[in-house]
Amino acid sequence: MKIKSGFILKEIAGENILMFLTPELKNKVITLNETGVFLFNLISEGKDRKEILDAFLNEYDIDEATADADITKFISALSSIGALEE
Amino acid sequence: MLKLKLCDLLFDIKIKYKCTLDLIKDYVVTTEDEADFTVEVTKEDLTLAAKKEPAFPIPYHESLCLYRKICALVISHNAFMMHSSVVVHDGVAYVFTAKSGTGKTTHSMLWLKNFPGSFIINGDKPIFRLIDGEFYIYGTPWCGKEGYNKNTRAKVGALCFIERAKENSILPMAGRDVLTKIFDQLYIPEKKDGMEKLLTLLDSFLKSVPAYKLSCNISDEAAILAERTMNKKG
Repeated sequence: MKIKSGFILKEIAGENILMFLTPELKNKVITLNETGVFLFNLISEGKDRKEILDAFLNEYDIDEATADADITKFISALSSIGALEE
Repeated sequence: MLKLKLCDLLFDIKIKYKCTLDLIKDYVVTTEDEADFTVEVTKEDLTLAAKKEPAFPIPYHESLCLYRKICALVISHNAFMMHSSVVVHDGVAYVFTAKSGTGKTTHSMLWLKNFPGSFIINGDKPIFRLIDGEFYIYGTPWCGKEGYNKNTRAKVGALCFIERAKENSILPMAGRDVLTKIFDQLYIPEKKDGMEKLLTLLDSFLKSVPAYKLSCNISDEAAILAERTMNKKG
């Protein structure tokens, strides 16, 4: 699983803005919260699901079931806009 | 080659159609100065554009292609294009933005009616430019079907998102809310460095220009409320 195209992740006016570089995703501009940035960076580094879960549990005080659900939700959101290479 | 002056930048432009020339004539200058950019709308550009939007005639596509190229170039000089209707009142520009058809022009006209001396500097696609730490908004020929524009610039006082409502109210808008709406109104450069530059400019813009959300109907009261809230001079 990885991000389909080049992207820019930049903080502006206190918000984390994610933009993609392919024409099809040009207008899909997303704001990410801190957790979103954390997960997005892991996915863009090419980490697999298990690695992401481990890193997430390591970083945040959260139980495995919730972490897993959060990761699933995030991946679905990225997938639904066409940002992921399956 | 024609020389076009837009947002304090000089362009050498090569175009074919008279309707494009008619559109831009108030911004054409005669000068020996060297242009900042050269822009040409080629046959290939027109063919591609016509393929994407066959409803418009080719000569009309030329003016659209020209502006798209200009907007892509000016980002390197700290300028960006935002779809909006902008009123200048007491020397300050108030930027009204919303999806097409919401009522930006209607609201702008209410300002003109209620505040003598105010004018619409650009009714559709103005350029904003950061110069010496201040954002200026510029009149351009691309200003909407009514043609509201003035070949001048003004300092930006406030950004205002409009939505229709039964009763008038206005509130400051948080950066996060602005960011969820503003990208739909911007020309977004196609290359990575252009996009990054746009984000950097937006960061500065949002830090220096107060943003508001105006829920309004079509009445003098709407304009009066908006002006009273956003005009820091009064």
